Amino acid sequence: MTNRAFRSPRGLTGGLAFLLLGVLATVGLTACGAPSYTYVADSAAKAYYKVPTQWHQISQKDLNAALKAAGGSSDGIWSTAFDAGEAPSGSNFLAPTINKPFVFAEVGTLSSTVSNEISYNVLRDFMLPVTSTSRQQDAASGFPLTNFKQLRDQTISAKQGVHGVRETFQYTFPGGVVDTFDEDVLTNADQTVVYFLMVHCTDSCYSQNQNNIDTVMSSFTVGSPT
Amino acid sequence: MKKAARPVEQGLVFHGGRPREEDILTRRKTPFWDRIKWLLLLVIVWMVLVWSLMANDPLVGFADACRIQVRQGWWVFILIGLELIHQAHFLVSEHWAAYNQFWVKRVWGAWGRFTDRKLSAWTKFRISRVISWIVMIAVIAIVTGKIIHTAPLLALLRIPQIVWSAMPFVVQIVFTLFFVVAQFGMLFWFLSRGGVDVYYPDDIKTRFSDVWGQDQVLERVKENIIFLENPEIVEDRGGYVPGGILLWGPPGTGKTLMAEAVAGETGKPYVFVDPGAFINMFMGVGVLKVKGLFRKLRKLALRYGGVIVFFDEADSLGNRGMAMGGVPGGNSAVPAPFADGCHGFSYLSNDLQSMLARNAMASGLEPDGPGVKRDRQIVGGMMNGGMGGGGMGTLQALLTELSGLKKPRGFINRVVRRALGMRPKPPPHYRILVMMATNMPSALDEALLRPGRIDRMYRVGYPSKPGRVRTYEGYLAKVSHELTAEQIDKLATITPYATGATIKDMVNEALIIAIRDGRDVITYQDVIKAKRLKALGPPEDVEYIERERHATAIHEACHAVVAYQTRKHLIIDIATIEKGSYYLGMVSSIKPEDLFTTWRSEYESDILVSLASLAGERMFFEGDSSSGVSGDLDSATQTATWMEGYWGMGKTVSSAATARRLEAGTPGGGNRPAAADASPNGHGPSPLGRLADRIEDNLGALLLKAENLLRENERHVLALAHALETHKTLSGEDVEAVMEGTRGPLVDGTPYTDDAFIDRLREYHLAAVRAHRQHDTPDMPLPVAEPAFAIADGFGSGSFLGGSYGDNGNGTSTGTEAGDTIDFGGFGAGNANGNGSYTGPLGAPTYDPPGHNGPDEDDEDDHS
Repeated sequence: MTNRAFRSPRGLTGGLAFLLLGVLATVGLTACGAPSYTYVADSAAKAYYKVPTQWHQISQKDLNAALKAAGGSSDGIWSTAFDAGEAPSGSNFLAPTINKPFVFAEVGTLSSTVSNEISYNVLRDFMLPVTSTSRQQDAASGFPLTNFKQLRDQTISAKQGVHGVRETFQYTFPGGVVDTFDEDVLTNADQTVVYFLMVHCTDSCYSQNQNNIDTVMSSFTVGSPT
Repeated sequence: MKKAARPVEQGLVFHGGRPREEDILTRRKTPFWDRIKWLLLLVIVWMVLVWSLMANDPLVGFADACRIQVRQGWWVFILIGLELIHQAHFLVSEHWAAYNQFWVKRVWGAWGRFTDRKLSAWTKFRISRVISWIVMIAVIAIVTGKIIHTAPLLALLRIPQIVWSAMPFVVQIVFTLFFVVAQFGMLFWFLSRGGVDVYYPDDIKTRFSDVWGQDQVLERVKENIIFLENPEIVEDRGGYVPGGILLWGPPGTGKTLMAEAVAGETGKPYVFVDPGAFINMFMGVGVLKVKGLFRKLRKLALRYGGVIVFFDEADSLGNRGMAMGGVPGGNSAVPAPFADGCHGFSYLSNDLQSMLARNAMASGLEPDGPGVKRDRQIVGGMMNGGMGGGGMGTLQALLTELSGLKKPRGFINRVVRRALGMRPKPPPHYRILVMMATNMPSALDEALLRPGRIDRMYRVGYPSKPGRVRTYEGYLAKVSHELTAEQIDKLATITPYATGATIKDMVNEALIIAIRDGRDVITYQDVIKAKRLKALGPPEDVEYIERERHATAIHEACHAVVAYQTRKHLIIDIATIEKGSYYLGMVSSIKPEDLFTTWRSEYESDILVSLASLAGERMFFEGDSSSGVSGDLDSATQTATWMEGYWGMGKTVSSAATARRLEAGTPGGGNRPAAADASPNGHGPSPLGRLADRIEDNLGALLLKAENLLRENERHVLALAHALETHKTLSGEDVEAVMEGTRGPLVDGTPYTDDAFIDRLREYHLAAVRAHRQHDTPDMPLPVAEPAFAIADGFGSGSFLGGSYGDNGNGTSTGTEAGDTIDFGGFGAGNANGNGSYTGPLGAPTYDPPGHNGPDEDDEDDHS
């Protein structure tokens, strides 16, 4: 009986301790707080990137409207956008005076004609004219941005035949504001899909957020995780 | 003081055991694994979610994946929290008796009492079914929602769309599998249908008042209705309601009718299980059927507060361990509890009873009486397969279902509740009354008959005479008739082993006879005709040649005269020389009263009646005798053997059957001579004589007695033979009229008191004997009795009910199961013995009619 009397409280203590441990573990995990980044994925196309958690995602509706306003189309493409500003808006897509980085990503399928003709230069000029030929042609047709300044021109070669370029450059908007654009333009091995990621903001903003922007740009991954 | 030495313990010593449930106030200690298993599972689930996130996105690190899943997998933490509360509750319950008792008695107990009070068992069943459906739908909704990345409710709405979009694929699969799998499924489904009919309360019109002549059983069965309606009578006092009744007895005694009446009276559904329901082509279908049947029964029991299931011809369910099968006619070896022995051997010890039962089952040699056929067929038992149709696990399934009505059921109840650390709830109280009927109780499995499955066994025997009167009255009340109460009483008397079915049939046959004659009203004669027709079939349209007719008449008259003079326990029902299918003529007798024992004097008179034919033929035909007595001798020998060797009615006491089975030898020795000289092997002579000799001695003495009786009644034999030749068939009352010289219902016996007429009969007899000797026709016609009585048509041939036929065409079957005696006479062509020899054994009697020169002049004085 003594043994029994002794065992019961021990069992109770042990049990309670175990339960307490469980509670603490749960609370601890919950209290660890938010994750560092927001992870963005197009699971179907296997395109991934991450942005700091503080950056706000633009709703798909706003983004589609912004794309339409810029003369593009959202049909058949996967697109996402994040705005680090305090008043996130899709209209910041190509706005000249944004003091916080604006991220835009899209994945689109290329037609067979484009697919056959695609080259690194075509990739460079995917969104804005970067190559001199393209800049001259666009300038002739009234392209409003001027004072192109190339900061980086880098080719990328990744796993599974994914390849492309990273372009960093500046343009001056008509009001005299200098904007820095950072682009990743990739395509898969058989050049049927183009993966595009762009971050831009004013020159000073770019300098201030250099680290975050680099993290975002370098996180851009295409292809199966394996 | 020296302490007494403790006995040395053999083996390991057992100290205590699990305490009883009601003795523990706290909750049983939950094993550690049970305490953590759900927590562990939930942690694993959460880790899987984290891993899945990392696997889907190469950028996500473990820490971020954890942080993300803390938010996205919130439901896991809710479940973990609930499980922690759950386990905390258990933990406290395990150590704090008051807390545990509060929950057990106050919370769950009160809830249980509340639901019992407010909700019927059927409603609870429906609610639990609704809940299980809701849970199932919720699980489907959540899983589908996860798969298609939408909210569970939306997913539920999209399920039809998903199903529709998947339809082409589904259709392909269905078509592919249809001819492969579905065929079997359908086949088994169809095979497991049928054989079980459900009748709802208003479908059955039968009432107890429709069951006649079985009052003693009916009273008992009514008791079960009270239990079915108000089980609290017994249950509130700590008992339980008997759930199974076996009605057993001869066919046609109203077992099925009684079960129907039970259903009609209670207003509960009545499930009739066809005897062939469990006969299947494929293994396992019977088991499916049994399971399906009991599923249906449980549902009906809940819905209607009770149900009656009736297995007709329950012997079709089979017997797993039967060493021998039933034989046609139902004369299977009967185990002791069902034997006709004194009290079913209940005065013996249990051990001895079971040994006798085993021996009876194994040997099949236990004699029940002279009427039981000795040539029992013993067929190989289908071990483990069961006899009849209930093979292949069907019987076992039935046994399990019958016992399993009190076990917890249902997946959620048994598995889910158990997994959550809760005890499965006991099932609601299913009130199922199982009734079975059989005329072969010995073919039932012993396990089926144990209390708890079949609690009560009632023998539905032949109705007593008041029962038969009531049955006759009942069926006659449905038709127009002019039978008096006395006639109905007489009918009941002369049909001692009539059942409800035979009586119903007989009245119906009588009605048909009346209709055939253009009448609407049934007369007594119609019923008698129907009785004869049912028992014997229509008489064969065969005319005897005169000398054979006379010989048959003498043969039967000898039986009838000896029966009339010596046999008081039976009365003659019919004497006839009309040829039937299996006999040339016969004298049938019936019991005037319901008797259940037979005495030595009665058996002796039976033997006398049997031997009368041989004695008479030798006497009246100058030592000649026919092969027609073979059946009579068979009967006489059998009875004498039973008496001497089995019933203690001879010189010895021991049972020859038992002695033979146990190889103890018989009194007097098997082959030892009765003579005084010692045999060469040193065994001394038997003072008792061997069994066969004793039997022969007894028969010889009784044959002599029969001869003397016939000699004394020579004029009666001639008179009765004449009446038989004239009228072919005589009723018992007519036989009496001839014997006593009075007027019977059909035959006037007064002419037979006239000596002159008797002399003419003697002359005719001698003429017939001469013709017999010369194979010629008698030189004088059959004398006509004056005044001749106009014979009413319709009573021309004999009939009996409840007797049995000797199967050799000319035998005698005495003391049949039904208890009647029928002495068949005649000269069956099928008998290999042919006609008897003229040269009879020494001392064969001779017929010396009075008035004629012969060796026995004394008789002349007696009969003159």
